Order: sequence, then structure tokens, then C-alpha cells
Amino acid sequence: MYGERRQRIWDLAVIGIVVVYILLPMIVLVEYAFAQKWYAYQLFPSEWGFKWFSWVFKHADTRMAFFYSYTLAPLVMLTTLGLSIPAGYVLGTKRTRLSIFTENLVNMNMALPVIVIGIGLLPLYTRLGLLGNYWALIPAHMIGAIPYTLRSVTAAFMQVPRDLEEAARVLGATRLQVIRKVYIPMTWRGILAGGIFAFSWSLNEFILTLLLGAPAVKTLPIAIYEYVGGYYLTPQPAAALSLFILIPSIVIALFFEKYLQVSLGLGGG
Amino acid sequence: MPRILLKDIVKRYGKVIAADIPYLEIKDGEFFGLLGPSGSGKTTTLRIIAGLTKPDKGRVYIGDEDITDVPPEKRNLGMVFQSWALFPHLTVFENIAFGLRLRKLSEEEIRKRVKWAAELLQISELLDRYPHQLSGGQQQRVAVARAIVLYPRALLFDEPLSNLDAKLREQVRFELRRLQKELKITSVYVTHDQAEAFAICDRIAVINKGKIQQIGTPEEIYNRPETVFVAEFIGITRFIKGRVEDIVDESKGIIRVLTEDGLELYSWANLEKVKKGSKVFVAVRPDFISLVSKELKEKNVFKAKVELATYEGDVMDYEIRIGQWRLRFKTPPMYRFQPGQEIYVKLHEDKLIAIKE
Repeated sequence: MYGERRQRIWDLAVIGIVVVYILLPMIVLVEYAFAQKWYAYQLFPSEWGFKWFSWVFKHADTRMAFFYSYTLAPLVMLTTLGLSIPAGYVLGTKRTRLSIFTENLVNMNMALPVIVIGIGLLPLYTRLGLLGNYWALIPAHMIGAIPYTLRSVTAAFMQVPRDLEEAARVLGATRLQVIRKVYIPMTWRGILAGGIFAFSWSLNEFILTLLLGAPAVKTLPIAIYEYVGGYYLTPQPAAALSLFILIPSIVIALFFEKYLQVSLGLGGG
Repeated sequence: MPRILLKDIVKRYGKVIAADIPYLEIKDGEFFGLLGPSGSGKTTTLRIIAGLTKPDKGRVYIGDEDITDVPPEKRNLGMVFQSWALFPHLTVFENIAFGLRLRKLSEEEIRKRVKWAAELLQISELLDRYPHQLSGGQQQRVAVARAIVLYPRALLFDEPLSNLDAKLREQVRFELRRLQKELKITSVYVTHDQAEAFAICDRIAVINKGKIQQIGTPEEIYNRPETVFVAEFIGITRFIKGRVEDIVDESKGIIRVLTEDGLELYSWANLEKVKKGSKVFVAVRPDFISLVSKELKEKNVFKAKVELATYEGDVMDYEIRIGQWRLRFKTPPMYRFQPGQEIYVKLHEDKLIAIKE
């Protein structure tokens, strides 16, 4: 009995440490974002409110950062999907040596430090005169997003048995109809997951945007960084802004857990 | 219903010849079997008919129409795949209606046709289910319904029963045959299972290494195999090797064969191919052998030694040895011989098949 109880305490302690470790930065972030009055001797702020939110929105720079981030992310999502869907179809349905080589190459890209990619792109963008160009950030963001998106889309296509395509053909479907009536209904979850990967990648992207876009184009992560990493330290507006990256990320994470994974399990059969 | 005709078909994968068929005609309304071991090219042949594989050479006709360059979706054929290939995201109803919807039929017509096919296959109560909720036998029926609902010009079956358990497989064989006779659809059936081909098909082509070895009715294939491959592939066959000493009966095709170890054997042979002096393989199957009570001074009666005895419930399965030749032999289970025991057997001369080496 005694041993069991002790074991339980241990379990709770270990889990507790993990939970606190994960949640602590977020708790601090929320505190900072909403704290209007908070003296150094207080554990919690004495006055809460939206002061810092209105404060950040007064800055034209910050408003532009919102615009850049929230337009770039969907654009990167669409372009990444536009490339990944046909590529994923080929890689997923035709398992040739070239396919597997390409897949390995793309997967390797995931392990590459983004700064390395950025340093590779910097002279190229300089030469082409694309530094600070909003549109040129789309292909830059795609480089980081494609491995994740393509992986998800390829896996979705791989799960569609080849027989189904042939059965549909014999039943009278053209190649195009096969894609519409067989592949899309059977792979949309993987495609959606891949799109969301691209979206959140772009939203979180910092290094490439800093190297290739700033100072002309500043996205949210850069705006946040400037509040804390520049000449002056203002954690409260940075925290308030951070929520605009944090909240979409949490929504996406919940969406994956609750919806996509469960559905993938059911729909696969 | 039209015939199917293959002319000068060649299909290679690298150096391997997957199909080499100078001429094959599947008659109007016939249930035709393509029988062969795995990798023999039977599925390749079927896929060439379906349009899923393009032959390197040769033409494919349905009726008088040359369909060689027609894509699969324009051929109007029905096909049942080994995996059944049901669409997992669609209900049974929508699976069956898939081809009808592509043909832009009215909703009413679609309902009518799906109902007809579902009743024929006895799956009317399953129409709202999804494939993963069905048993293998039910999935197989849905696959057949999906194929026939289009009133196809021909039906193609690619080992559709190989994923069913043995009992169900036997039952479905008869149902498929009845269905095909009822609908009178020219059908091609690919299988590696001889019993299945025999039960279902009117005529069978035995295929090996891409080439047709023999075409005939099940009886012709079983009783009169023309090549050693066919004789060995069909049934439980053992061979006795020897030389033709003389032709005993020209009209019945009976020859006398002498083996190296001095066995004298009378056998049937196709005298167009087998001549005096030919080296032959004499095919012996369990049902060519019967038990005799004692040593008779008759031709084709031999003393045999039981080597192995296996009880299989309805039969006893023996391996017996005559001279140096090991044969398989079956009896009703009331006869029980032990390994080592000596028995007398008669090989029926009109059943034995001597095939030129």
C-alpha cells in the first residue's frame, strides 16, 4: 500500500514538472500581455486590461506587420500546396528510385538549419534585387514549408491503393475524373494538414524574413523581436503581439489532435 | 454480346516476356479462363484487354472494333479486381453507382439500375454501408455488382475469389457461373486455381511464361494435356519416363512404353505427335490408378510399395512406388495400408497420357 502511494506521488511529480515546464512561458506571456499595473513585489499583476494591445496597434509598423504576416501565411499555404499536390501525387503513387531519392533530398532539407538556407539565398536575392520585396518572401518561406507539406501530401497519396485508380478508369473515369472522384476525397485530410503546416511555418518564420525582407518588410515575429531585442526593452507589447502567433498555433495544434488524427484513423480503412 | 480477339500480342518487361499471344479468340457469351501459375502472364493478358496495360505489339478487338488504342474508360468493360478495389470513401450504393454517375444518367435511372444489380447479387440490405463494414464475401459481391451495373460489353475477373476463405470460395464459384449464364456476358476469368477455373469456365487457356500452352474445355485440359507443363500443372501428376516400343492400337491411340528399369506400360498418346521410338513422359494421376485384389497376369498391373499414408477424412492419400517411380494414389478411407505394405494396382491405359519429351 505504502509503495503504491509513493509511486503515485512520484508519477504526479514527474508529470507536474513537465506540465509546468511547458506552460510556464505561456503563463508569463499572458500575464505580461494583460498586466496594466504590476509592481515588482507582487506575484501577480494588480490590474489587468488591454492597454498593451491598443498600444501596439497605434504603431503603423506593427499594423503593417499584421498585414504582412496574415497575408503571407495563406499565400505561402496556397503556393506550397500548388507545388506539393502534383509532386505528392507523383512521389506517392509512383515509387521509382527517382521518387525515393527526391523524397530523401526533401527530407534532408528539414534537418538543414534555416540560417544556412538564408545565407544561401542572401547573395542570390541581392543580385536579383529582391531584398525587401514582399512577393519574394513567398518562395523563401516555401523552401522551409515544402518538406513538411510534401511529406504529409505524399503520405496521403501513398495510402490510396493503385487498384482504386484502375478500377475507376475501367468504370469510365478519365484521368482528371480519377483525381477529382478518387484522389481528392481520399487525400484531402492529408492535403489540409499539409496546408496548415505551410500556414503555420510562414506565420512563425523569422530568420529568412529578417535576412531577406527586413527592414522593408517586417512580419509579426520581427516586430515582436524589435520590442525586446532592439535599443529598448518593452516586454509587454511584445507579449501582447506574441499572442497573435500563439493563438493560431494553439488552434492548429488542437485541430490536429481532435480532428485530423481521429478522422485519419477512421477514413483510412 | 461480342467476342474478344487478341492478335499477335507481345508485351515485355525488360527481357521478360509477359505475354506472347499470336491468336486468342474468346467467343460471344463464353466464360473463358486464363489459368497459370503466378507470373505466367495471365493477369497481363487480362490487363491488356482492359486497357490498363499497353501491349508492345498486336491488336485487341471487341466484336469487330479495334480497341487497342482506346483508353480503358472508353472500352465499356466490367472488371472485378483481386482486392475488389471498392472506394472506401463511398457507400455501397455510391460504389455501384460510380460508373453510372460518370455516364451522367438520371437519378431515377441510377436508382433503378443499382437496385437491379443489388438484388441480383443479394446485397440490397447493404447499400447504405461503407466497404470497411462489409465481410470479404460481401465486398466481392459489391465489386461484381459495380461491374455488371454498367451493362458492360465483357466482364473481366482478376482472381476475385483469392481473398475469400476456402468454403465461401467454392460457393461463390457456382454463383458466378450462374450469374454469367443468366446475363450471357462474355467473360474472362484469371486464376491460378485449377478447381476454380474448372468449376467456372466453359473453356480455359493454360498459360506459362507468357505463352498459351493449350486451349480447351476443362475435360480436354484434364484428360488430354498436350504438354508436360499442362499435365503437371493440372491435378496431382507424377511422370514415368520411357520410350515408345510400338503402337498397339492405332484407332484408340494406345502405345506400349518401356522404361529404363524394364517396366512395360500401356498408355494413350496423341499419335500425331508421338511416334514409335519417341521418348515420352507418361502422366499418372491418382484417379488413373485403381486397386486390384491380387497379382493378375494382366497388362498395366504392378506390385507397388506404400511409402507414405495420409488420412484426409474423406480419402486416404498414399505415395506408392512402382520400381523407381513414385506415384500418388487415393482410396476411400475404408482401405488402410501402412507404409511398407505391398499392394497391387492397375494403371488404366486409356487414361494414362504419354507426352513427347
